[in-house]
Amino acid sequence: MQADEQPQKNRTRGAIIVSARIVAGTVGTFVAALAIAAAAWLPLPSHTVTPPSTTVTPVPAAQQRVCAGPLLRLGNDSGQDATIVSSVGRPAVRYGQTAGKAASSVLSTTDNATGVAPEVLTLPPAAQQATKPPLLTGSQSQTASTGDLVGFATAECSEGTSDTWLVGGATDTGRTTLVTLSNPSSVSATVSLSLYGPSGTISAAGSSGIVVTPGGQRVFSLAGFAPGVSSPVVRVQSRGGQVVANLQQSTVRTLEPGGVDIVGAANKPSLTNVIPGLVVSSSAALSAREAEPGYQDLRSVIRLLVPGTKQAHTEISVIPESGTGSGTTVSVVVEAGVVTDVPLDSFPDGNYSVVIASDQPVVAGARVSTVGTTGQTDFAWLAAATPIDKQAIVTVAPGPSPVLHLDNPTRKPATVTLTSGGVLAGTVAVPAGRSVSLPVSGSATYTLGGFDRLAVSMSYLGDGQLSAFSVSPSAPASGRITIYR
Amino acid sequence: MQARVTAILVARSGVAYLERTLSGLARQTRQPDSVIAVDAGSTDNSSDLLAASGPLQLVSAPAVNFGAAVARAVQVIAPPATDGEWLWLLAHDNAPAPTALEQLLAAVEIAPSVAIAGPKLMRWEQPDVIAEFGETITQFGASIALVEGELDQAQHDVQDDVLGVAAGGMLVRRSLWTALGGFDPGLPSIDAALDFSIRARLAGYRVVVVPGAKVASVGGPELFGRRSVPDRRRVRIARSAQLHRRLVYSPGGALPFHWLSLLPLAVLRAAGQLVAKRPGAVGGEFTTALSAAFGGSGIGQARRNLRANRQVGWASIAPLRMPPAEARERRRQFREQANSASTGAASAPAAAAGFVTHGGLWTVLVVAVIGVIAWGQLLGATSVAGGTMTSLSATVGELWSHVGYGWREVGVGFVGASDPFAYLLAVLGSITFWAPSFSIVLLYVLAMPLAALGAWFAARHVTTRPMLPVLAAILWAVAPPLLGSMSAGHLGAVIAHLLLPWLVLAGLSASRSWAAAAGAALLFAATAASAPVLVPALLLCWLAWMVSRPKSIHRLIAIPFPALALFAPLVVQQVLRGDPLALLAEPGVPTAAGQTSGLRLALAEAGTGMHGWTSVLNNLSLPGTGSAVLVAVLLAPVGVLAILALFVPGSRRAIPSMVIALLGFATAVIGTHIQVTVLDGSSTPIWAGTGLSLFWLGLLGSAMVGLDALGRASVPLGLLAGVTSILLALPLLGTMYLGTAIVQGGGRILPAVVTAQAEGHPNIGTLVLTAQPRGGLSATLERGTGTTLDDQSTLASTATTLSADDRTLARMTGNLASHSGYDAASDLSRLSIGFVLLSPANTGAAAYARTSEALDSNALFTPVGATDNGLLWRYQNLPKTDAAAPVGNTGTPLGTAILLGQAIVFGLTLLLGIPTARRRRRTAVSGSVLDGPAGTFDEDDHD
Repeated sequence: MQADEQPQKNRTRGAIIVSARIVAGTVGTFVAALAIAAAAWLPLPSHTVTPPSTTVTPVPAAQQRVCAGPLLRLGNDSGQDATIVSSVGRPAVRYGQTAGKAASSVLSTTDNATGVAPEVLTLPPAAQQATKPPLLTGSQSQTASTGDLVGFATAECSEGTSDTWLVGGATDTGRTTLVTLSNPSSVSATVSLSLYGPSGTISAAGSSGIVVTPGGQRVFSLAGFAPGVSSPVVRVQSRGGQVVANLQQSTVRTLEPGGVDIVGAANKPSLTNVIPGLVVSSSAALSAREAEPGYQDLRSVIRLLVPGTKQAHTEISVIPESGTGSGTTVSVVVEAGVVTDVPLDSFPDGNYSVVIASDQPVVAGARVSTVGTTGQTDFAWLAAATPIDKQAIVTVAPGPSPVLHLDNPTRKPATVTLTSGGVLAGTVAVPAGRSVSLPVSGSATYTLGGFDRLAVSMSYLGDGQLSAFSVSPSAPASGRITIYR
Repeated sequence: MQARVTAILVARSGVAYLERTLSGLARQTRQPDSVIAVDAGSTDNSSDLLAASGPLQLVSAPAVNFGAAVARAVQVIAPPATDGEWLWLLAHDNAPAPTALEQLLAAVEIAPSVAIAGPKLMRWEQPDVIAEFGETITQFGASIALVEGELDQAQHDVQDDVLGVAAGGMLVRRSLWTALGGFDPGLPSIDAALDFSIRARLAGYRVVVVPGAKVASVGGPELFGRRSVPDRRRVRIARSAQLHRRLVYSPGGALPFHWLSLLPLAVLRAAGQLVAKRPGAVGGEFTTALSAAFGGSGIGQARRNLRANRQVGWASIAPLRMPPAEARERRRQFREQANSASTGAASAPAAAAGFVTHGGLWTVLVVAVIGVIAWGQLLGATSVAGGTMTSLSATVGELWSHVGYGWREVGVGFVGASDPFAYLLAVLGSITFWAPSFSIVLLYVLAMPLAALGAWFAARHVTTRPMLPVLAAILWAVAPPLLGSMSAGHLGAVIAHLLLPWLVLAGLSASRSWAAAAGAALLFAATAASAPVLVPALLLCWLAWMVSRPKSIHRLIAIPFPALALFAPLVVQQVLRGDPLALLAEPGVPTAAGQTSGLRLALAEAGTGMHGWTSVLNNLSLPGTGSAVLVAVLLAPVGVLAILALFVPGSRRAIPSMVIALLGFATAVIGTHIQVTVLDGSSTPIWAGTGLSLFWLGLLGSAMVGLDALGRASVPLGLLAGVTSILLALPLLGTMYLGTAIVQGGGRILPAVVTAQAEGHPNIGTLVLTAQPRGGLSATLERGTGTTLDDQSTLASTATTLSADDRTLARMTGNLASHSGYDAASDLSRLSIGFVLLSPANTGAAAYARTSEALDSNALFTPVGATDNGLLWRYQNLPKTDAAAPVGNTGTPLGTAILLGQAIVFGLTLLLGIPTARRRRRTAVSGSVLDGPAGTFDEDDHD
């Protein structure tokens, strides 16, 4: 009896064990699949801490602007010894600010054998933490009529930067272009120049590692690096102290002085560049003179450079100011790394605004000329203006019929208010995408408000005298910054 | 002179024995002249029985000890008339043989110098076995019974003069009793009679044993009035009595030394108890020492009493002490008896795989060669960098100064608790004491063979087939989580992977062995320190193990204690800061973890790149998206085997393994959702590799069980799993050659210029700035040659607020990165910053150009130029000041207390972990197949 029961019991037990294993295995497989599915698709809650950070508003520093300095020429007073640089006269410097009291001094050293150094404007920071940092402005003008230097030149006093594009100048026969490098900071600057010409990049010995001592000015002839270049573009990069760089071009056609001007910093390589205040004057006389040999560069040109490696398709629109006309648009393909001068067909006399739209970042400048009643010619270099946001200030250096040009690159019309010395000096409407100009008084400082973004420039036009400069914004380097631990 | 005997029978709740005792008393051939019965607070009807026996007097006393009860009885009897009056002391369990009193009296009557006579105490249940026959003390004063538990064959009947006799059945001259003041109240039970006898000896009397007088006895004096006394309590009473006697007997001059030695001796003896695996006795050592030292157990009174009655010197009793040689011999015999008793139970060793005979050694050697090939490039380096790693401190002393509570030299620095990981690093660095950082290099090169070694021994514990440990060793050494963590430089995860098999091994044995429990506790602490994220899963395993082994709970319960001691200061600080989850943060240099997903984690991948297969496929011009499929196919054998194990015989052992795998997977998934470590302005999740190691452990354990049960089919399946896993690991093994490794040799954190400067100015600070791609700048401060790995603190890396110094640093940094009028000179000097380094990361970010430009134009700094570590500027005017000594780990009372507490916990655990009982331990391990997990999850019978 017992012998029969035993196997029976074993069989039952075995069956129970096997079914238990099957259940365990199935449950296990199911749990595994469930776990993976849950991890993959179930939105699990997260515990994420907020990283500690603090936003630092930098203590405002004294603002500095350096003017271009006196007009320079190669050689000494008597025109001898072309290895040195000497200056002619002194520029008239005017400056102003939105708050506080700016002071003017001069750089301590200069390559200029005459010893006249550029002026440095300094605006101490606002005593209290001002809601808006004060703005500093300054400009200079100088009329030259000695020897080869005849003409009228103006320039904005600008802030030091570590990267400056100078679009202008020429070093072919009769054209002298000097590069001035001013270092207003308290550390020495190591500057390298990158030179571009119509045939591409120009490599030149000594163009890098140029040391500019604190508070010093260096002057070089561009021809020393790039001789015989009709359309150069110079990029000035500095490490250490930030520098103010300008070009000064003077032209002599055989023995006839052809004018002088100072080239200021252009807008950084951008897809859109605006050159407000292109002044076309005496176009009939100019056309006549242009035909003479050596006078081709009286023609108005737009100078373009694509710093990148891809060619740019650009559209250059020349739009009359305050006008109703929609302007003329030219399409140009600009090869990369090669300076291209785009001649502008003769436009009727008047003020124009040039808008350059491109599919690659470009730098741009423009040259315009004038012929006086006595046949005296002068030219002006305009740099693509760096747009200014919300508030601008401009000081008008003395000169013939100063005109302020405002270009509204936004899609919103603006009503710009001008105040001078705390008094409302006028209101002007600037439609979206259009530009206006208005005459201003010399030696006055104007504060501009009531806009989102403007491109601003100044022009002067006299009899055989032409000059212009674009107004630059304050560098945004001192904005708030977030510091993480 | 006719002797007069007063029998004093003391009873306390002794009904079970009293009847036999009373009848024995009644049948005496020489009846005592009077009987005084004392009821010492009985809770049963002992009192009635005593009354029924018709004593001369029945004294009711409260619950006092035997000596005090006798003293009560002596008070009530009439004062002694002659010197021939005797007291016969009996407890309720001392049933005298009929001739007992007659024999005792015969012995004392022929020798007037004898004042105390003791009977031969026989066992209550075994009347022919001697319970005790005379007592003595050793050279050092420990009491010892002369004869104990021997069959009475009259072999000891030649003895008469002894040092002491037991209380039960003692016949004592009444005048002596009165003169000596009875038993010492400081000795409640054990040694009371011995002490009394010694005092009688010193008073010039003799103490004899009388072989013919037999009195039954249930147990020692400590059992008086109790059903049972735990061993621990008995040991404590005996120790207490010994200390009391020592203080009483010592010469006056030696007393202070004895007193001062009490606590140090207690510490030493406690250590000895731990080594002897008697952790229960540790507490007793201290309580007895403390009560002897401060308890006021009437030592002064006892010493006066002794002095008053002493007639002869100690030298006179010296011959009666037990000679040291004999004492040693007695102890040896005792130990052997204990050992044979304990090993008798588990004496059937099962055939486990041998390390050398079954390929374990060869596996480890082959894996070692693979490890050297894979990671040997690091051997030339002084340290390993990348991921969570960087150099260790230069000396062992510095390493150990960075543990505990003190100054943490990370960032601007703060005072706080170190990571438990710092202790582990200090231990590691101490191994290569001549160059601590080299220990990390060695660890990297040896990681794979070490993993194989641990896995081999752990697998041997759970399987019976000799080749399965070899497979487990290989699979654990090429485990994707291990190689992934190594390649990505997650040192804590690597160490945890190496420790896990040993933790399993020790944890499984911990239920039977104190040494294994202590080992498990240390391994648990080390694992927790290297990978805090594993702690919840490990604690769950621990709880489950305790529930399944309730009888061993006393050994298992303390396993997390050392880890708790390590973590306690950090836990307090993090909880006070309000973020307990930050405790799970991975220790080491904060490092960003790549994006991962649940599916990737299920493929055992913690990082990115599908175990390196994506880049391999890309290099072969194959679509990288196929890598996930490839990895899934290669992982399938292990996964399928693990699941299969649930269906085959022995599946009950696979279930816990699969639960461990699930816990590991959950740890990995949850870890990726806990972002507590802050790095460069964003929070990063916890590295999933540690959880995946546990996942892999569970899978392997289950797969081993499955293969164990599959019989002959296990060979091809095991081979398949091994081959696919090795294939899977190939890209990760070649990571140093493919250039995909984040780790690299080399230890310089800062540029050489800074390192050179730091030689003479070790406190010089370097502000390291990193531009962030979405704007802003991260600023960290490094001191000297850079923050070392042992300096790192999760308290710093998980901080969500900025300290005052952090704010100063941020304000200064913000201004240094701007054209600013801020005069940073005072901040730089105060924070002792000599260099500013702009990291080469994110050179395209706006903040990079801004910072570089601002620093270039700052007159305070001189540009040093571009270095491997980024652009460097030097602050020239840094005054060379001697750094104020930071708060060391022993610089505060709290810091010292923490270190001391941790040292005590670890010292005790280490002592307990020293394997002493060699024979026992061996049988315990080899017997594991019977009693280990295999026994827990009994094998299903083959059906």
